[in-house]
Amino acid sequence: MTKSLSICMVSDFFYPAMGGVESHLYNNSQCLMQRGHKVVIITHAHGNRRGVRYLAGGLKVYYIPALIVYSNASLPTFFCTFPIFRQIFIREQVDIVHGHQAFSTFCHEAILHARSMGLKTVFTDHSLLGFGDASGIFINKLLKFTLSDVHHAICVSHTSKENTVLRAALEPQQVSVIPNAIIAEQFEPDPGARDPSWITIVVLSRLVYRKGIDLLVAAVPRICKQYPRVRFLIGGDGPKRIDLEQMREQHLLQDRVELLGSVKAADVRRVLVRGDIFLNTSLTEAFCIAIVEAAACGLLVVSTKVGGVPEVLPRYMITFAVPEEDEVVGALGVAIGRVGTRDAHPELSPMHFHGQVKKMYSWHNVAERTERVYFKIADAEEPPLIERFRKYYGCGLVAGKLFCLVAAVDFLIGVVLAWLWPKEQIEIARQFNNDRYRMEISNKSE
Amino acid sequence: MSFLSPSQPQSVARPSSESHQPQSVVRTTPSSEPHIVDFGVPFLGRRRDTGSATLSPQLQTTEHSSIVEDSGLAINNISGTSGTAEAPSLETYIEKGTAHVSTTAYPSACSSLPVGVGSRHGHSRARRQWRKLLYIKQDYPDDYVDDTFLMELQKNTNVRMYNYSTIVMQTSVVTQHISSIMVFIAVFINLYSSALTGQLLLWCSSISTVLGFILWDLLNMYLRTPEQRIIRLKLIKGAVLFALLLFGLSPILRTLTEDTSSDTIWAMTVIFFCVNLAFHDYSTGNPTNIRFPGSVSLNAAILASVLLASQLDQLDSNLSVFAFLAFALEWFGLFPIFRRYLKRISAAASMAMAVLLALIAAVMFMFISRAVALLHLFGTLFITFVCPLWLIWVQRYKNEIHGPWDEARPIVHRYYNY
Repeated sequence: MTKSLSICMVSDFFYPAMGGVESHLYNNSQCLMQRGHKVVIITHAHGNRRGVRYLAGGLKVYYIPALIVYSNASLPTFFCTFPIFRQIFIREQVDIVHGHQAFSTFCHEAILHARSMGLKTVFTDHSLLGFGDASGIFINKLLKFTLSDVHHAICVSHTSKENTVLRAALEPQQVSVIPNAIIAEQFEPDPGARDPSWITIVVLSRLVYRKGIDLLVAAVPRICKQYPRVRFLIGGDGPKRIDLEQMREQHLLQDRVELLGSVKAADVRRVLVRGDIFLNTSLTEAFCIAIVEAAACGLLVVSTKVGGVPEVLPRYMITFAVPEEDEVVGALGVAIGRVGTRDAHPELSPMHFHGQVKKMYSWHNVAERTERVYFKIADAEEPPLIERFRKYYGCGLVAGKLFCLVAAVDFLIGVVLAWLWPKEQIEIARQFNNDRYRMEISNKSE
Repeated sequence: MSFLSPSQPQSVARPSSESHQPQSVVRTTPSSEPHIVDFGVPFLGRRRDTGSATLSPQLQTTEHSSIVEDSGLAINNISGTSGTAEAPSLETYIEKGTAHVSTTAYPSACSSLPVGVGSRHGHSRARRQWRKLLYIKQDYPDDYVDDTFLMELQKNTNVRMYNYSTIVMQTSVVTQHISSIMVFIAVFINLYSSALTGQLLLWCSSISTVLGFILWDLLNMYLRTPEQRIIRLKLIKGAVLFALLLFGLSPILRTLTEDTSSDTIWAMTVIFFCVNLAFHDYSTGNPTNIRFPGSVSLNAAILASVLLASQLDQLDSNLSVFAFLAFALEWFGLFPIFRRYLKRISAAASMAMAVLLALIAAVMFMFISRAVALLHLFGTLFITFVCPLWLIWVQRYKNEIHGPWDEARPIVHRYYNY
């Protein structure tokens, strides 16, 4: 199976914005390209960054102008993106359209249009969503629409798979679990960086409610009181920062609690290696890449037992606590106790942690497994149009009819577009010359 | 969906693959995670002593040594099969017949599997059981669905079974409020048609307010609320100030909507009373503070009353407007507080109040519109007796889903006061 596929990744979330989805897209695409596939990425324009750009390794990115409405997601327009998406899909001779993240409008629209054009589609879900709140209900309905006609879905953890299957009413056989990964080489432990006179607890997260900062605020003074040799290093920014600062003032912990503000991706390792213990207090988490990075840097991990977190690391690297103040303090106590025993046990040494994490998670592995999904669906037979409508119709009493209508209109627009701009008249994009690129790069470095 | 049905076969007591294995290494922890001791729980009990908890002695002697041996073996195995240490592919292991060895996990994860034996008997034995973990490579495809799928799904955990008589009693808060709005409207209509004078209304409402105040005062004395005297003085001062202000403003309020058509006023009034009904604080029973939804409700009611008051056009209309607005404030601001106290004292009294209000509303409307009066009576009966039955009946359609994906609620004790 050495067939080369042309894959189009679509998501609202991509560089220059930073985050889990963004790095997943970038790294996965790079590894897929190394495996001989062609990958293009479609995202919305970020400020001045619009048009077609090439990233390292010839990764082609289309930055499409779009109105941003809420937290970096573009305005849902349903049909307006069809002409440009169609042009790109044809130009790049796309076989498979791979959308990322349920909150991304682009992802939903691209999958819809790709289905109207008869392309294969894959969807990756990166987060968990409940069933109780209004935003959850809305997104879940939208997800049901998109996923009812997707060929395959990918989730980042088993818990996330259960969640997605429930939310979108999918067949569980149609959903694969492919975890995220890290570039382990970028998270090498550095024993010299930590201060041996202290036990340092590192926290790196956005300081928002969902990351459980309330628990952190409650636990820090208790830990500082109980363990005089412990200090905290807290990186990240957000609305809950005020609570942390208030706590620090209240308990006169200025010399024990260091607030770093937002930490750039490149500096994450530099912060992590200063610590002995990494604390994650998230209230919901599909995968939690942060604890993997921390473990790769050789830190003992303490985390709340939520979402997919229990699946991520083996028990000797992580201590769990339910999201409750006493439990978090207790688990931190356990971890603080374990710090002293690390020297005596080679399997608890930072280097051993690093080696193990390196074996557990790598982007090459992720790309390989994603490729397997692609190959599986690449030869699937295209069902008749009526079958698509049947699937949409089953989405709900009112929604089903609405979805059918949207899909039908989209299909008709596709027909009109095919008449306006026939496929034969669209210029095919030239292949990126990877060999020459490599040669140039090596010439330059010499 | 079939996999959601309760009849789903749950994975109980699978034939453990471990039992078939030749036991060449003694295992001391037959847990689902064979590698070292589960650090999570055992240490919680003794975390206070030193802050430097150590590995359990049992682990240090037997377990530990076996781990080290195994890790050596397993690491050899990895490099032997794949050649490169980085990201060995799953197929490699499957082809070599060592698929059941979760190679990339912590080495001792295969502590029970002597490497040599594994490769020989690999095909003849049942596959290693699937585990809900991401850090080990498993001999299952990525889209594998285990029997444990959705095992942690909980349905309808928060469902309360309702008791019919309790809900009937509790409907009184709703019927009371509806009736009170009806009474208010009836008072306005009487005032509008000059069947009721502003003077009479003012006297009635003032006397009942004073009575209510005395009752409340006595109750607080009885409950020994501290600083009752100061609160009492404050309240009287506020009431006098408010009355004077309202009296001064009533000529302005009377002419406020002179240029607006009456139809508009009626329509808007209906809307605002609906808002009042929707946002009224039925649940908290908090007698002192009026918080968010309750405040919206109060504001809507006062706005509706101002609109209505501006339609009063009589001889002594300034007094009428003043009387009507004072009554509105007492009726929507203070009367609910009285009702909440009543409910706290006894449910029966609250029920009696509901009946009384419904009857007053019905009698007052008898002279205005018999249809409305009957509608009100039947509506109240419907809410009191049929709606609770309905609520109990619809419980069967409850479908609440909970699982590990739900956003957890952080529990913080606030040992420290901020």
